[in-house]
Amino acid sequence: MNQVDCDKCQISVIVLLGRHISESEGYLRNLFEIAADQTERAELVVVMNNDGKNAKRYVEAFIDETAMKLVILDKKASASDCFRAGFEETSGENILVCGAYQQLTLESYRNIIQQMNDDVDVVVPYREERVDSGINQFQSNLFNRLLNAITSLSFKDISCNVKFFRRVVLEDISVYGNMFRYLPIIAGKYGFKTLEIPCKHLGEQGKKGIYDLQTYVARLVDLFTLFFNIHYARKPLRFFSTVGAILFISGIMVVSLAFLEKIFMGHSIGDSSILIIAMLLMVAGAQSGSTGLLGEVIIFSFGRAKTDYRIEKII
Amino acid sequence: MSYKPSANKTLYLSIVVPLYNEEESVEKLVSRIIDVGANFKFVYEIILVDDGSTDNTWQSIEKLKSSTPNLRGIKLRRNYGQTNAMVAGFDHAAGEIIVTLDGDLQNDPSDIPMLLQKIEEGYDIVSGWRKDRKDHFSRVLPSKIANWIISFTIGVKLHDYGCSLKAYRTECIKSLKAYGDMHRFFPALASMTGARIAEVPVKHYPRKFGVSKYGFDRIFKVISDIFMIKLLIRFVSKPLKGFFLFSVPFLAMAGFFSTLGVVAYLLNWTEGKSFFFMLLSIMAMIAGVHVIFMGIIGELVVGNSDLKQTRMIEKTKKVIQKRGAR
Repeated sequence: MNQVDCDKCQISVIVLLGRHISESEGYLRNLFEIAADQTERAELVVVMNNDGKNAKRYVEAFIDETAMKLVILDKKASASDCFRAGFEETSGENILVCGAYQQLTLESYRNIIQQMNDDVDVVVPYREERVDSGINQFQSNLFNRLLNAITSLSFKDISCNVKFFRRVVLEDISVYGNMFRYLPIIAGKYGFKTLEIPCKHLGEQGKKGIYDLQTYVARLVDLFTLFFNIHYARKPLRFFSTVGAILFISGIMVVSLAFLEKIFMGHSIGDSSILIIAMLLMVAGAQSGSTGLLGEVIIFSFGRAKTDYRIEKII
Repeated sequence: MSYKPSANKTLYLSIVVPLYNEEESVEKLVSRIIDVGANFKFVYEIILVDDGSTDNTWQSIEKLKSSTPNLRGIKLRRNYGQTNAMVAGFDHAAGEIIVTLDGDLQNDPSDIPMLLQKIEEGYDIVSGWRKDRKDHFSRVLPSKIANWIISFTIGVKLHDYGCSLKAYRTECIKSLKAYGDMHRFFPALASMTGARIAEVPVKHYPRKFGVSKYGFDRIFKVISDIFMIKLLIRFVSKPLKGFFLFSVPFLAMAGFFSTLGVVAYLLNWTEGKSFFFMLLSIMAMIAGVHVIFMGIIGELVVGNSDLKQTRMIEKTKKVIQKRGAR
């Protein structure tokens, strides 16, 4: 492999190696060669969040051979942190983001890169002929369906660890927390054009079958975060006032019920725990409403300078 | 602040038109604007914003561009809604005055000179009023109710907040930095910065092409927006005051139930009743105090923001002093 001057690369490959180092040399070499086949100017940025000396030494040996940069973060760095740190080191017009291991056939990686054209901003592969376990596939499908339901988009496989972006997309979207995984969805909502293509599944690493509870909770939180960010991030009061109104009106209905019982059945309101339930509902409603108001104050104070629209063309 | 449009080459007017699936209307609309513009004694530009149309609206704009030098087209990546399409137009408008109108031919560009005349009289925003509205009753009635509620709640009395035909001083509308679905509240928002607002009756025509993009689902959104705008107008620079008012009913309930609790105790009602009322009182107190705490956080937020609420006030303020004084 030849050393390439990457002041302005056509394709940058970011590999989020995480803590995986085993068998990665061949994987990294293949990725770089695929990118280099498409353009004379390709670069490789490997991001690790493993401060183990062996891992560093292992990849460092590879640096001399290729136009590669190694970014090492500490163990606590999230996938989004790793991605952002890697992206800052790239110069490519198009960015291929890959996971820690080879999930698709090499031909698929080549195909993904070739799909990028003027009418596409993000290429998202979906795994065909999946080789992972039935229960993993079931969970993955269920998750994708839930995602599509809350985002009104239609992605078949958001969990595939390979994605290809135009640089402008990644410069425009701010990624934080766990949102790296959902970049194509956020890009789609920003108005960038996404293309999903079928790719041959090669293999999976990591946990098989049922995950630990923490993973499911994290995914649920992700779903809610996406839902809120997509629909209500600029108008929080609409969300909180809806929840608040439902709770408050429920409280009022419960109070009315207590009074009706008093009038028609002679039950004492003072002895009834129903009034406590009503009060709790109204308290929760008020808290939800005031949270929404605070959200609006925050958006009005800090968020107004941010533009919500994205321009494709000006003539 | 009176304004006299000069007959020189300075760009005076930007006409911003948001378009969504209006391929049949756009050519006629531009032609009408050009007819009206032929009588202008100043330079103007037309900014057509394609808000993610799925028909051939953009192709029509491209075609018109070749024959209309003062036309600019902006194509948005997807459908972001009318407010964002308008804001995109505002952000690229170079005129001293901005006029907005609908792209569905329901507004008449021949009303533009009348709006400009009002601006010349010193108003910062002139809003059109579709006095003789040509829409279906099912659209007119909710609109009338919404206009009444907005006028009553916000205190800026306009008959027709929803009319897109409006004229703005550019500095006034740009300083608002609108977002979300605020376009119908531009006059209300501008009022918080001291802008002078007028309303003039304008012509209205029935929709000839395409379909209306409005529905009943907007009613709840509009009500929520009214509440939000009211809050922003009255309390954004002093949020604790707003939140305190919001907490008053709960604090009153807390007082009421604690009084009942004390009375129940003193009059030797059953012990349970006194405890029960005190419990209700504590819950109401928690709600009230929580709302006040939210207001305190609001104060921190506003205090630490670079909220330039005074921007328009700076531009509209007058300083009268003795000649030669500094």
